[in-house]
Amino acid sequence: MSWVESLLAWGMIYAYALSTVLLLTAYVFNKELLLRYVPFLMVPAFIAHTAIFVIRWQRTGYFPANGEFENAVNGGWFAILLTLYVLLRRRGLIGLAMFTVPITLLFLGYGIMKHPTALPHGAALKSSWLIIHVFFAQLAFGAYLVAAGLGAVFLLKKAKADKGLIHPLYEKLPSLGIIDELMFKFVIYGFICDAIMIAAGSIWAKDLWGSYWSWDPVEVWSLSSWLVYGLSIHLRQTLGWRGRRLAWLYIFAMVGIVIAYWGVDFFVKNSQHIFGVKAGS
Amino acid sequence: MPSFAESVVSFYTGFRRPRVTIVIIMVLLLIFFLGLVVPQKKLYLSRGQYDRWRTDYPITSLVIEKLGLNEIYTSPLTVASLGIFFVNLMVVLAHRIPIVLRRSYLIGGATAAAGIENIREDPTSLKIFVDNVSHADKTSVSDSVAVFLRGHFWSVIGRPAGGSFLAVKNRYSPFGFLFFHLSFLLCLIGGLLLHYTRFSGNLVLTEGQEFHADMSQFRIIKNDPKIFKALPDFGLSLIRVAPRYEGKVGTDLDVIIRMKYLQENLDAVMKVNEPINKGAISILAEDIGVSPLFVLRKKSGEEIQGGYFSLKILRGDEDSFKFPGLPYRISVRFYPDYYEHDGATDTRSLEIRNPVLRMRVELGDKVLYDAFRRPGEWASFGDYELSCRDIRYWVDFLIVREYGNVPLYLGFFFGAAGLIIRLVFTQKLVRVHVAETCGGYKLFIKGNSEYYPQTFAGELDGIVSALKAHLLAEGGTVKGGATG
Ligand code: HEM
Repeated sequence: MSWVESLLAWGMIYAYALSTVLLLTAYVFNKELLLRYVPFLMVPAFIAHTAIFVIRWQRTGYFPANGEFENAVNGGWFAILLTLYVLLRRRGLIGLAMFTVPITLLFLGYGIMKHPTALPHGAALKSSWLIIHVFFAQLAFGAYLVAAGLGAVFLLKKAKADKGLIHPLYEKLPSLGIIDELMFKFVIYGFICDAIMIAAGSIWAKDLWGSYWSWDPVEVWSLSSWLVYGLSIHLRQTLGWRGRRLAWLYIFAMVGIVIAYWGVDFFVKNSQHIFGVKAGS
Repeated sequence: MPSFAESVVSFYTGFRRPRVTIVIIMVLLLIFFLGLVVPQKKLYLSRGQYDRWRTDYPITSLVIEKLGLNEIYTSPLTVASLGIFFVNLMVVLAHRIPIVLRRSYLIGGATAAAGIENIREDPTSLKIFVDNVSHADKTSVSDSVAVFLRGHFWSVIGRPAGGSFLAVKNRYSPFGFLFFHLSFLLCLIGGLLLHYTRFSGNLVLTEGQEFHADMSQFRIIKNDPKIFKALPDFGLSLIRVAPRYEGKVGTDLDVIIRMKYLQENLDAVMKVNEPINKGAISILAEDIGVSPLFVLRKKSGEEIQGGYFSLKILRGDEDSFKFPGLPYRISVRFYPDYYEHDGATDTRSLEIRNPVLRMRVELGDKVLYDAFRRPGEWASFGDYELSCRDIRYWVDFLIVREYGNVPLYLGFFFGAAGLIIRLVFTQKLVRVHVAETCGGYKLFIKGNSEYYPQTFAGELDGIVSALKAHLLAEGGTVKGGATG
């Protein structure tokens, strides 16, 4: 890592960490005023985040998707971009960042500990399908994360409303119906990107390993997590599920997504997708 | 007791209920999850590792093996569940075709438009008052509204005669449901075809050598197809292998081939591990090596044997061969561009510029000869002399022939297109009713949207404001609308 990258990376991490503290304090202790400062930290952090992404791509010549740090940088980038997009349209939904910022922060921290430097690119990673595959994967991750964040916001508002409590922090949020629809919109967004990711991945696998699908653990995990979202769409469309149950489902579904993207090597040691482990071992 | 026919019908109606689909998807999810947590045979790197797991967990492994869970993706449980999934899919799709047609207003449009005037009683309907300055009757008002909506990409269902009509945006969105769900069937057909028609085998060709459908030329056949066994009319010649330069340094090797597919000839330059696809055939140069032409003669000068031997010696490794019927083992190391530095020997690149071979001849444990020789020089041992007369490259090609790409790619295309049509371009609906009141007309508008009715309320406000402006531009006074 060059010193510019280090400076940007640590600046970004501290700014996201501080945003998390402000968000948590505001929501746990009902200190609405603190929320005003969050964008002042998030926006510069996001600019640094973007700069790291661009510098890394320019320096290595490849779409940065190699190793934990680069994956955290691009996955988190979409999550924060979509969060900022929602905030721009509805300031009241800032609570959503309480979900997306700390999770992005966790991955960035994990990545910077494991593989901050650029890894050598194997022939496998020099394909334009890689860019399509990873791009849509990370976009899907970002959208699902935002949906889960909106799910959390929904549950918080609903809990207060059920108890009959009125607090400006929650009153400023859009109505429960709107949050519910917005949450579903992000699920749809992620679901479509996820589908494109899986199709592009299988075309890439054909070029690389000779077959479109080989029941590799990462493939199975991605398919399963996509199916969970497909199932949730069915539950909404055909059985009329709304609101609370779906919000919980989207929060839990994130576990599957996180495992598919980062955690398969905790379960199996022999996936074709674990490029980093193979490169290092 | 219900009759057999009644039982079949009740099974059929039960089978296509949404809950059944949900249960099937959940069963598949459970199977996939088991495949991730239960050790899978093919995920072990070696047979030894697998056997060790069996010894370490004798009872667990026995249960797992008996249930077929260690090869779960091909187990009868999975195949049966996938079978039920696809049958369910087909049944539901067939049942829903008329629903899709109705939702797209291709059938039953008149029924859908019936009773629109009831929105007058609905307090949530938006209302606009238009005076009768610029419109002769209520049909003229509803015509004008229809023109406005058509201009904003709404389809007007039926004629707006009589003052009531229905307008739909993204009218054909329900077809996305059919496209998306049908794409699973296309992917299934593609996948099955790929699986059952896959031929794959390795073919080693030396420079100048040709392949013309003589299957015995294959070094190994990895997949023998179950159907469509014959390969299409296909030929391959390895013209030559040439170094690829970066600046003046030969960094890698290019494989120059001529391929015949059906009646067509194709010249191509391949790189290692980058496939070339033509029709149903895909060719991949997996490995490159050299084939020296070795000649063996008696000391008297009488040549007794000779031939090209494909050896794995290109990247510095040692490989060996025997002349048929002779007991000598000949081991060879190859230096394509030989040079010496600091007393050591090495090659500058993979390009055959200054070739030198290190040849070792053994008989049992006894080394009879061990020295460096250039092509054309003779190595003497016992009663014989050995020489390398020519060196050519060989390429190990993986040849794959399979059908099924077309349905698979169509599946991907229809899947993505279906999702976008259905979930991005969601259907929106506006019901319009015009009633005459004293001195003018009252327009009632009620909108709805699939998936996002709450968010649509805001969008409808915008549409109604724009409509007000449109009516105003026609003259007279217009009141009410989104805000009142
Ligand atoms: C046995 C298999 C399946 C059946 C019978 C089935 C059936 C259905 C039905 C009846 C609908 C509601 C359509 C409507 O109301 O317009 C629907 C919607 C949907 N299904 Fe499936 N489905 C199956 C498998 C899947 C799978 C595996 C996925 C993806 C993971 C999926 C994704 C969707 C989506 C995204 C929708 C919402 C879009 C739409 O309404 O068309 N389905 N499905």
